[in-house]
Amino acid sequence: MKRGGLFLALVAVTALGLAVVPSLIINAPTEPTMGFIQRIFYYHVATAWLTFLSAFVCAGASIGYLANVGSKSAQRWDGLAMAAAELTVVFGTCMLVTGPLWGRKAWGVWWVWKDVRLMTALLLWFIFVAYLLVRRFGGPGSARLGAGLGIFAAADVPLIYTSVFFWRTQHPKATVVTSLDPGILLPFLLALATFTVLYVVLLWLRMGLETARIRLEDLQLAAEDAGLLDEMR
Amino acid sequence: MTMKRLARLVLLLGWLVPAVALAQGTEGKKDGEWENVPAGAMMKPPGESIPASTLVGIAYGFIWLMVAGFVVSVWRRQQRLEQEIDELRRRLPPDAGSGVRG
Repeated sequence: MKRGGLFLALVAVTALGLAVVPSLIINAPTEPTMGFIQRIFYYHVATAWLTFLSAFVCAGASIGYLANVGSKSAQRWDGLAMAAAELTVVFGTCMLVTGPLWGRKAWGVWWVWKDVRLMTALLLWFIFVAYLLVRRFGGPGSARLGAGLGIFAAADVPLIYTSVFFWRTQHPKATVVTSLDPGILLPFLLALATFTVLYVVLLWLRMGLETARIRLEDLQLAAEDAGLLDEMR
Repeated sequence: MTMKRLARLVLLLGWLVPAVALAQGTEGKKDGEWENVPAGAMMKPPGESIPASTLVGIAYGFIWLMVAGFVVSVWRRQQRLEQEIDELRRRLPPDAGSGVRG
């Protein structure tokens, strides 16, 4: 299957998932302890999962970049790291907004400043915002600095995940998933799968931007070789 | 700071952080529990008047707004880059940049 065909197939799977999952969520049994507000769970966990996945993709691509600095493939690795960092901020924002909306009803507060799970998640978001700022305004050398930051940020993900086991937090443990009612579990897993495919589609789209950027840089080099760049300025 | 001292420091921190965390304990919460707060307190938090359906609606709407915003932002940046590429291609002689990828 050609790349364009695969992309369209992924878009179709995402569209199908987005059409089916909401109706499954609406018809899912209401969780007896929390009531209707528990329905935020389906999207909140999915966006949290994508935040962590994206942070790991960024770290992996950053390692790939650092290992290939100076070669042609370095630009591609750097582009992937940049794309993943942007998506980490996008889904991280979703996670940090949907969580308090749930918490307000379930815990009676928007945010608990002493909660390690919440604070380490916020820290991850801040690091990735810093990553994007470094890449935007860092000038020459910002790719290497960003790569270091991307790897460092990913180290926060295991801390976020395990924080509920080590510290007393308001946040439920991930093990809650294993005890879910099958009527809740199916829409949850489908939402998770749909969001994961959506992530691949968005990453693909964003990588298209990087491909165009690389093409532009190559053309600028060619223009410089031809002595056209000064003329154009 | 030498590498040896740095490695010692990292090892010490690696041991101290879980030790402090374990010392704090995880009492009050078992596997599979949603949270520490008693069930009654969770249903009607003091002063909470926003209906659950509104909060769920805001949460879902916000996610799709973010995703749509991201797609529009990528599309606009792509358009700008394509314009610059076209502009450069027009100005470059046909043989220049023949090795350009993409």
